[in-house]
Amino acid sequence: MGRTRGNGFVSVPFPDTEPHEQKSRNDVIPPLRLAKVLQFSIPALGAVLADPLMSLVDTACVGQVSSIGLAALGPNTAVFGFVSMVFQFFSVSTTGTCFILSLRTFGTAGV
Amino acid sequence: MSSESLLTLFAHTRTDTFLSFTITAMVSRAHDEKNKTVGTMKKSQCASDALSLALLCGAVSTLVLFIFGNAFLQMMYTPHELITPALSYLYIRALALPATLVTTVGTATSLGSRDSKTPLFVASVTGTLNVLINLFLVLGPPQLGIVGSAIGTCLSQNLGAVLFYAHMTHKKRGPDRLTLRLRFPNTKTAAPFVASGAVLTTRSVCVMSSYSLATASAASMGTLTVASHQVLMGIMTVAQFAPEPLSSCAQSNLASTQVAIHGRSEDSFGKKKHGETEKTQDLSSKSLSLSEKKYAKEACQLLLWCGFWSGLLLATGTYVLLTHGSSLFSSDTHVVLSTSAMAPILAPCVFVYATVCVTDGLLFASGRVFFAAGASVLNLPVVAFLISYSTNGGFGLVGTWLSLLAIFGVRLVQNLCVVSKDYGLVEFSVPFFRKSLFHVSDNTQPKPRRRNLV
Repeated sequence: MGRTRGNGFVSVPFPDTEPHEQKSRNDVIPPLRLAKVLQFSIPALGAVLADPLMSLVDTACVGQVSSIGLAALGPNTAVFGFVSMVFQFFSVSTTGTCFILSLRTFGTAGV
Repeated sequence: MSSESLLTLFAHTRTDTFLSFTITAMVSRAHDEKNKTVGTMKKSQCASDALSLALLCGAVSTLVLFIFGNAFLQMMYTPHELITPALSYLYIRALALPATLVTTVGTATSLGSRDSKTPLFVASVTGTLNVLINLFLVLGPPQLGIVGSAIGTCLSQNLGAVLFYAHMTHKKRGPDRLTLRLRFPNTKTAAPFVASGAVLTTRSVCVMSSYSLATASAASMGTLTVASHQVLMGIMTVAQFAPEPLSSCAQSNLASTQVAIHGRSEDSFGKKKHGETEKTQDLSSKSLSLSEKKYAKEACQLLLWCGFWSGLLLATGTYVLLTHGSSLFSSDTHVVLSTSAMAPILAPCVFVYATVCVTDGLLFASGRVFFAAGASVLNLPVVAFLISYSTNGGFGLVGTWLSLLAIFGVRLVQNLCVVSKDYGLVEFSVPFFRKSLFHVSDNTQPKPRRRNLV
């Protein structure tokens, strides 16, 4: 299984398989449709946009009152954006660990 | 389970949802856990450790910002007259950093448990609260200005943390209810979290550094320029996050393919033929059938098209907003005119970034984590040079944003080259692309031949 047509094995993201092996697999995957993409993406949009929208609201409100205040937000946005990126690993590791644990506990449905 | 399978499985969240091999090992240890109670206990432990570390990191960051906040602002070339209001905002918002990190962990726990409704609900509540507080404290009778805005953000983020904590420990969750036990983090509990994101946090920091350099450049040009830049950054930030679900979609859907492979590889272990080595079995588990390759290629094409059209839509929206609605963001005529004039540059930035975002997701799905991080590290000096050149050359805000546009373009070309190769969209005849740069083959085997997805 998985032997390539060359003499060796290839470590690539999506390598080929031998043609005769395909017959033994009944795992035809339905193609990804636009509806499924939208079904996934639209609910996630709210959570993703929450923070940037909060900052944009701050910008709009402060900008209506004073240009000095608006300008003072600039360096702060950069500082807090930087801090947020430094601690990105919380999101990375926690999501991954919980996802895999859910997968192990409740199965692959909905993956 | 192969590390590459886990790499793609791991990605079920935002663009910045990355995986390192450290966390893969950690997750692999839970491989045989079938019992739901054990799984929930493991999840509780993971969430508890993450929350404890988040609180500690948040507290330390608050302290650092209180001590070095002024120095940081000076480093950003903040004009003298802005230091006092900027520091007021910084100190108040710094108080919310522990809550911000708790919210991050809460969002990650929910998304990791395949629950996207809770983060959406929390975001809606906190966003609404922020708008109301801003309307009252900034535009209303108190007229607190930037301080009122900072109070609104701080309170909203604290509320978000409370809501997530309450949700995770709520009794109605039944068997999925988490038992959180906060404890002082030690090396053992912190290491998996810190190590897991190291590579791609490096990438994020490099990307963010480009924006910081741009802000520093704008700040060096004066108060009104940095005010205009802030409006542009606000719009750009929203526009750049908008295509992120597409990136997540790329990763999670391609993960489904890898789940199927994982299932087969488990089966194949049971049917291992005499003489086959463990290594052979592991390598073979990465193979894809023709239908799977077709699926991955079509999914890639669809997502690239979605990225293209969403980018076009966002760019059009950005252009219209800047040319007709700049007065929404400032009452100063100079700032309004300046931001309107930047519409022809910001709109292409938004368009290119949207496509970059989707290609990032496709890269992570195919395991090109080190490529993504390495390219960002290499791009940073380039953007620094461009911004410095444009600032010193007197090109103003236009030069700064053209520099950002140039680096987005470079990232797009880099990503598209690798994505096209991995997913078989284009056959490269250039020798450079025939070999894998990032996947080291087994030296004990004869020289491998890199093959395309299709």
